[in-house]
Amino acid sequence: MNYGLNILSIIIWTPLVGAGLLFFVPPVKVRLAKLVALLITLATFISSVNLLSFFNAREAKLQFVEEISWLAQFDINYVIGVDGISLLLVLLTTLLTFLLVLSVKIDTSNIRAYLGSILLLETSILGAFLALDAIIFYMFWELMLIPVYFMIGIWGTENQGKSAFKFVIYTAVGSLLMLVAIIYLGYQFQQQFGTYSFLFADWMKLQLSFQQEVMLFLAFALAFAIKIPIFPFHTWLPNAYTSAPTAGTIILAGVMSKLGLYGLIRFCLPIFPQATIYFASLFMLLGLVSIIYGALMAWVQTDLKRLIAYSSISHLGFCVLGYAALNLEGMKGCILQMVNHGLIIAGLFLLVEILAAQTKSRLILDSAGLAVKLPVFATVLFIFVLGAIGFPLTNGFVGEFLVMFGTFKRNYLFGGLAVLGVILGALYMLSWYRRVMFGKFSTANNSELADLNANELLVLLPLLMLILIIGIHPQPLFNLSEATVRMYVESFIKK
Amino acid sequence: MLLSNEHTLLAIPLLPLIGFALSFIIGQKSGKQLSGIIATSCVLLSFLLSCSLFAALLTENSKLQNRLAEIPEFTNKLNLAFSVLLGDWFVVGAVRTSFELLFDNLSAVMTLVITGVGCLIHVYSIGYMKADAGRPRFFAYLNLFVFFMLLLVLSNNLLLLFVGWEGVGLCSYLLIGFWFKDPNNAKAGQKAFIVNRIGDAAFLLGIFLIVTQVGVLDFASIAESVQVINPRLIEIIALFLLIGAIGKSAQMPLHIWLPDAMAGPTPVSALIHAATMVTAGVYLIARMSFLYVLAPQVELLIAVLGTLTALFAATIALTQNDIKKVLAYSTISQLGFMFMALGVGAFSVAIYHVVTHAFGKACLFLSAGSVICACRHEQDMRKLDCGLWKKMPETFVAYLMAALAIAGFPLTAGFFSKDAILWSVFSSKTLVSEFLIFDVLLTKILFGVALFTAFLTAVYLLRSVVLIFGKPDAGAKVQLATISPATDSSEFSVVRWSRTANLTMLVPILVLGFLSLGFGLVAGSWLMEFLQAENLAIEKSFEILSSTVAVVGIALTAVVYFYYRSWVEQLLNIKLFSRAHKILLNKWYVDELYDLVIVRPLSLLSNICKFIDKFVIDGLIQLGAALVNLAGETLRELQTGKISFYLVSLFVANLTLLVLIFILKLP
Repeated sequence: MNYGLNILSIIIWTPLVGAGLLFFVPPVKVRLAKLVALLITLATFISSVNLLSFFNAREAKLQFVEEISWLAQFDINYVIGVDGISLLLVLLTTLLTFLLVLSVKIDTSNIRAYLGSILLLETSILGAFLALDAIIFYMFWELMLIPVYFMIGIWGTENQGKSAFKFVIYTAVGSLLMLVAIIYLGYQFQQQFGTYSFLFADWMKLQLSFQQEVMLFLAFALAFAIKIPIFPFHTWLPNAYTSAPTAGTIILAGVMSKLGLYGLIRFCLPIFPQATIYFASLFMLLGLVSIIYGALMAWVQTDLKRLIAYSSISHLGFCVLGYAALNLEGMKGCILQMVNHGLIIAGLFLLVEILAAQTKSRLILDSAGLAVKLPVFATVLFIFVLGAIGFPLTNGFVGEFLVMFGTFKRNYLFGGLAVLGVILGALYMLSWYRRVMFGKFSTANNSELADLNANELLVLLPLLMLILIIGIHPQPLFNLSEATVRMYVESFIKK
Repeated sequence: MLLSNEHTLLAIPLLPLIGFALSFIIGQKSGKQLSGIIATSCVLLSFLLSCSLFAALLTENSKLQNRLAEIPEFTNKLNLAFSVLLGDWFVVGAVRTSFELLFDNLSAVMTLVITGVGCLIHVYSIGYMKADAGRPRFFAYLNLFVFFMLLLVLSNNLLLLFVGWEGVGLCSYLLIGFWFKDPNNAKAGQKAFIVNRIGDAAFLLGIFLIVTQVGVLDFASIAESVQVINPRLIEIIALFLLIGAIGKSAQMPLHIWLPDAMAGPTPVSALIHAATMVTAGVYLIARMSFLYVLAPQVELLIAVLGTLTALFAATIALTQNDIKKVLAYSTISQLGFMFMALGVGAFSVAIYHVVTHAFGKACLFLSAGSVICACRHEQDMRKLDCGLWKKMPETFVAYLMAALAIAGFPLTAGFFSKDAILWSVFSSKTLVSEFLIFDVLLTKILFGVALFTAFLTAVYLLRSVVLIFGKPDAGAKVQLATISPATDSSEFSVVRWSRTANLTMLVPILVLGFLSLGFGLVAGSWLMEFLQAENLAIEKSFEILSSTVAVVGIALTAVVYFYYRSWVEQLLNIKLFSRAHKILLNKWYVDELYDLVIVRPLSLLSNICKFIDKFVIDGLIQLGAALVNLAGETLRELQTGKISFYLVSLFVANLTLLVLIFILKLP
């Protein structure tokens, strides 16, 4: 299954090599730096797309597995592989990173370091998605914090130091218990089978008492819940999203939040099936609260970036809900919604940032009636808004529909309450769109507005096309993950 | 036949979609006039194709009937339908959906109305929007609307119908807020969308229940397996779908968006908020009629709700002074009549009324649009120019014809359909069957209210005719001069409009006027047969009763408003009437009620959340951080750097340990 190339390793490490290359670019040659980063991320994206042609969607098992022995005495090895779920997320990551680099303005201060941070972040995220060994996973998981810390701290705005600090401490502390749980599981494996192992696949064979499962589940779930974040572990998010520079915000919201959900699906579900079922109702409740709470919070925000940040909490609540429904429809809805959310939130943050750069303010009331001056911007933004409110024939509808249906199938009450998200979503999204775009345009402070330029359109159009294409023809994405999800749902839930 | 039936069926909705893209792209670049022509020709072509497909359906059907007639033992009536499957949309677990269109008798009628009336309104819009810079956008939205509306009535499964359902809602939102420079227009659009979303959410739950119970979403399969569903659940499904229908068709209590929707350009009000989109709820229930006949309690609810809405909206329409508001409340009221019919199981009769109402109300709106344009965008009937009946005689005639039709003047189209509704209610036997007396009583009460509402309809419509057109020519000139040119309308669409209505606007009005006058006589009974109406034998004496009510209402209003206007004012001087008038003028304070019960509490809740988020949830996190900090600060004090302090500490600690181990004998 190796096709002669370590294709996954190439995907993971290419961005890091690119970050290294950036050191050799003279600091004044900003365009060259951007070009290098662009080519590297493009190459990464193309290699990940290339995976599709070799990937066997009928196969539920992990594919392209690579194994390199590392700390042999503890059986900690560099093992990576991909299946139907992680493949989609890898594609999302490489696409978004490429588009992000494309959107980076060349007048960013110290652009080499900025681009280097993005590339390092890409490596660590891809590594976390593809790692099959818990220690390797944990290393990539924590590695992510370093570039984000610098991105928020150096290129951020508004209390950036405090936000960066809060984000890193909050998530790192949340992950500590996970590390403990990982070590405990490796030790348990040694107790039961004689040798250490940190492979997730091996851990599924472990015999764990219900009590053990619950404790370990909680240790993992806390880390994941903070990363997503689920209510009430979300308070780092508005600060971090608002302070971070655009690229940082988009990676945080578009990709890193998916790692938490990915963790829930990849680890919690198969290794602690009893505990997963035991806590399913709690997770459903928290997902539901996230949806409604996020929507209400978004409704009363005055800062656009903060508003989108809270809307992100609301949307991720849908993903959590779909996961906790523990059935095929919910799970597939959850996975699709992860991809959808990545595409939509990236577009929304990019657009809000463009707007803020033009009007020199992120406050909603400051920029009324802009649709007159910025018709293209208004149209593009509207399509992203439609995706965000789950309008039919956009990707958001398919995902939300399946999530709500899966939830409804599991529990009528939760399903019935979940549709409130549909109403509230339209309420806050259309409210802010109206306030910003419609109304009487005043030239007083917005005299020099320019509509979307070619470069911005180049970044946004792929996202926009995907929103519509997935909305009209989502089946290929479902087919990619069909076998894997079916295996997960059928073999673990019915245990 | 150039195209196969399948291709024709496919082309009917796709043409407006192509028109949408073309008017957007071409319209922006070259010649704004072109967008109107492109959009109109797409809808016209779509209408012609609908006609040809309709003809094909008729021939195929008659062939089938002839063949069936040869089999003596076969007495059931069978009907053909064309369908075309484009492919799957998504198939996940229990959810299977496909892009499949269906052209049967019901969708044929709806398609013809949508494309036919739609085409006329497009033609009208070319004239109406002549001077508006946003024309390409307008026609693009209008075409997109026609596409979604056709998708709604042509789809073969509930989820695709839902796509059209949401789609028309979107276009409605975009078109209500078309002149978005006025924040109020944009707000009205948003209100429409969100109130509709409440219905949509319930609609979704209905779909979920159907999928979990039946596992399929196409109408034929649901109809086949509806018997296996638990009767209790059927009622619940029917109720959820009904809530969706209430939202879209502006029935109580979700009617509040429709009057505000009048903020849109008048052709939009005619097409979306009178003729087509608002009837989607009626269509949905007629389409799912197999479900509703099994849900008698929901049927009862529909009948009561429809009757109440009809009455309630009619009372408001009596007092409004804005032309479009009168027509909006009239639409709500007429939709109430349609729901009445649905509630007593007369589904085809409801569709019949959809058709006649589409002609009549579209004509009223378009005429009103012409009047509004001619009077510098003045919508207040009291401030319109004098002697309009003389100045715009064609428009006056058309408005009068349509008003008479909807008021139920004998032998007009509206008369036939409204009569059929009243008769269905009167002769209804399908209401709840447990207590016969209650049943009969309720039927009679509903009928009484309906008849009274029919009377009110005649009154408010004739009042509008007299107020708009009947102002005497002389004597009022002085008063006219003081009227400022309407609410600064030059801001939005500058329609420099001459009194001599241009042809593009006049022809559609007249066509619709004659349709609303003559359609019932010419094609009414045939349409009822085509839709397989449930009972047609309306007693002659009954017809006399209902036409008397309409004629009395019409005559009374005409006489009073023409000759004895002061009576109305004197009536309003009586305290009781003035109070009632105030309540009606303020639309029963429903908007205020919503504001108090839903909007404010939700806003308050959000602000409470904001507080909790900052001070409780994040507060706890900050508290944890602060405690760690405090611990650090406190312990730091121990690091004094003095050897003597460390030695003393060491000594004390050791002593304590010794005491614990040897004296207290701790392990």
